Amino acid sequence: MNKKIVFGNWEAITVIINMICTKIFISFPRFMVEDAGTASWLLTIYISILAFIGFYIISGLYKGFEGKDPIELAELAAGNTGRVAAGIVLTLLMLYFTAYHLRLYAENLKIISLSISPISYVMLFFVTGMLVSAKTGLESLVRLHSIYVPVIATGYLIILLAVLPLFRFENILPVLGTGPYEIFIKGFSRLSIFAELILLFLMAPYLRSNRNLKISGYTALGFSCFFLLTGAITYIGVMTYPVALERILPIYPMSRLIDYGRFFQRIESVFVFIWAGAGLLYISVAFYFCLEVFRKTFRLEYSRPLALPFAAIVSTIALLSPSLMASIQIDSQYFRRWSWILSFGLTIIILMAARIKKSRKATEKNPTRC
Amino acid sequence: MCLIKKISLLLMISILFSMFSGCFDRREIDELAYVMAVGLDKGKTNALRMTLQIAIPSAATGGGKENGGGEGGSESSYEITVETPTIYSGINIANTFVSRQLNLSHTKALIFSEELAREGVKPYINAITRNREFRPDMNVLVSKTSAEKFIRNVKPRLEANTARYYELTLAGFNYTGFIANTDFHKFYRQSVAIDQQPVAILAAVSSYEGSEDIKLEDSTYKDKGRDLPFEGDFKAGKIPNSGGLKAEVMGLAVFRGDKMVGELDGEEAGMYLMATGEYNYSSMTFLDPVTKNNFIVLNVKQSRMPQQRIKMEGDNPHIYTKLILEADIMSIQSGINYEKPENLSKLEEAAENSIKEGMLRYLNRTARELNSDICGFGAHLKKNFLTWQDWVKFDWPGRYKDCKFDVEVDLKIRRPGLMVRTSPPNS
Repeated sequence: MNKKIVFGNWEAITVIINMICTKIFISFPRFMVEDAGTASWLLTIYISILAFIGFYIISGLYKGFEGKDPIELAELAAGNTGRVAAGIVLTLLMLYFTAYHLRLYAENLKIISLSISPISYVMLFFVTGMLVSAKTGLESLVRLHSIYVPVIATGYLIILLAVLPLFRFENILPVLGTGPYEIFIKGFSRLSIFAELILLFLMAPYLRSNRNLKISGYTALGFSCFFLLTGAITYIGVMTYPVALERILPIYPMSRLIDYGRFFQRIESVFVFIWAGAGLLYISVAFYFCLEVFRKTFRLEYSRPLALPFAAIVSTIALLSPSLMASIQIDSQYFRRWSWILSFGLTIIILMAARIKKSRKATEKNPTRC
Repeated sequence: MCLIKKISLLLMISILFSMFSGCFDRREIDELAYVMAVGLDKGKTNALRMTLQIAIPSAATGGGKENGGGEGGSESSYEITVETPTIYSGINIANTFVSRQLNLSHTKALIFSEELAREGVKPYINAITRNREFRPDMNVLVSKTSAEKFIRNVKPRLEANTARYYELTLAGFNYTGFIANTDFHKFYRQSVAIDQQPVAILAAVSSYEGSEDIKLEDSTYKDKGRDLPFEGDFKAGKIPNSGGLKAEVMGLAVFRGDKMVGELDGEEAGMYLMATGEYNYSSMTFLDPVTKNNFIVLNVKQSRMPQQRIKMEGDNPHIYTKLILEADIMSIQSGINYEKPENLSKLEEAAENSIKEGMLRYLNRTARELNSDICGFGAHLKKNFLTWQDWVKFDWPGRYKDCKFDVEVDLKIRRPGLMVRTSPPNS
């Protein structure tokens, strides 16, 4: 039934842009400053190039596997065991995406706006959103992205343009920040910023052809790199080092600095609007694919009945961490360092295994071709 | 199916009702007390003495006063003082006797007493940075008298709204050049930076009750070798005035890190603005280059950002600054026809020399006496370093005192006002 759902490149592009770029609002520019200091912009360029190389390799390996997602490919490579193993890993990955962002968005909303409300109450808004999206399905979710992501991007660019007068070129110097080793060797693991690219491969069945997959991938990566770079460079250029290490929500304090006379100030209300919207879309997509991957892994007919129990599991996992600081530390020190292994590494391994299996099968069928 | 739809609709309506009725964080505007200014002094019985200036909205929004002009301000706010260990515990204490809950989202000024500023303000600015209610555009001031005394003397005569008074007064640097923009974000950023140190607006309560009390002992004009003080040769508290507001601002408090290390007078504040490129326009007085005993007043404007270069000569940094200014003639007391092109260059040269002299005096003071790079010359040097570690190791704050300065001023007089020729008096 789900196979019949087909959507265009624009929908896929906006989903991937939102999934990769949402972290600009919550952590990304600070992560870059933590690693590279004043050269956060350089590290962003570096990991962007790495992401393009990674996608180039993956899209090359995708030849001959048109319309297949990593779970189907794992089944091709290693049968049911492969499918279940890859499915469990990807379900856990999606669970992490959903639970961590649910906690982070709820906590941050408490910090900047709903300081008295209990965390469970704030989380309820996002949980309701993700339940609704699970019910309405992927098609309406991607259509919503195609409408709302340009609005988010416009709001984001307005904020960046408005703080531009406060940008000081000297703040991005010294040019190598914390040093070349920190940027080019240790910084490699920050490729994990693009971990959400795995969703593009999970959307492969809905994109019809490899050509569409490539177009969507490269375009989404291009836009994402642009937004990540502008966010990183503006943040360090306006907030300066070492103050840039301190801010919990990088774009929020910048939006508070916008002041063009008495009638154009307190623009953070725009920020809250786009930020909460981006978060809701992110959590909804991650949750939807969590259900969908689980359904495919265990060959269930429907994913909707899973929505409520999974929502309960996600909410429980989200509340496991004792504090926001602990959640951020787990994300910064572990997940955003090593998740590239899952999104890029695992996909490449699955694709290579499927390719080997396919060529072996072809050889068995037609031994004379050897 | 129909039943399910009905139940869903009922559920949705219930959720909507709960949302419309507000959430845990609902706060009615008439249940809040807006703090306009926060003053921090050293406490007598506790670590801090905190003074809060609270708006009285009914008076500030009119109540018949604003429309009629006049003394709305004296009634548009009131002040409370508490002895407290920290800012937030002080707010907690104040909340016990102020009927409404205190809210800091409209605070316009943060005022430290000089005593507290000299000890270091880090414990307080850290607490303020963490709180979302404090705005980053709030101005930071240092009061030479106690912060409590200063706030209690802010009784605006023209503004019914005290917040408006702070906004307008503290933006006065745009047309006076005697103070600077010292918003909290900038102050905090510079207090932890290596390449630039912070400043705060110097504030005080006037020392003079009436015109007869005015003295020139505390003017800085003698240090500059002048016979009479010019308009910028004063600091807050010693401005020769009477009849206006008792609370006044002029000059800057210079910090090294989070500690205040000295003061600048009004003229030096103008030099600070010119060196940082934040100078807008203001009238400046110069001695007549020919008669030497008359004044010439020019309305000086900074037409471009200053050009700055810095290079190392051995271990000593050598800083070159070029100021590009424009001016309009406002007054020529001597009656000499300076509007004539061949005379105009004399006037330009005299103004350039005067500004250059003032700038060199100011820069040398910041280096030798105050040892604080408030102009941010360090930022220009950063490009010579590849990594942050190298830059930190270079120890710019420690080297600033050994800086040599070269100043070039390029001033062009563009307009003569409404007179194109000055006729000498027939006597």
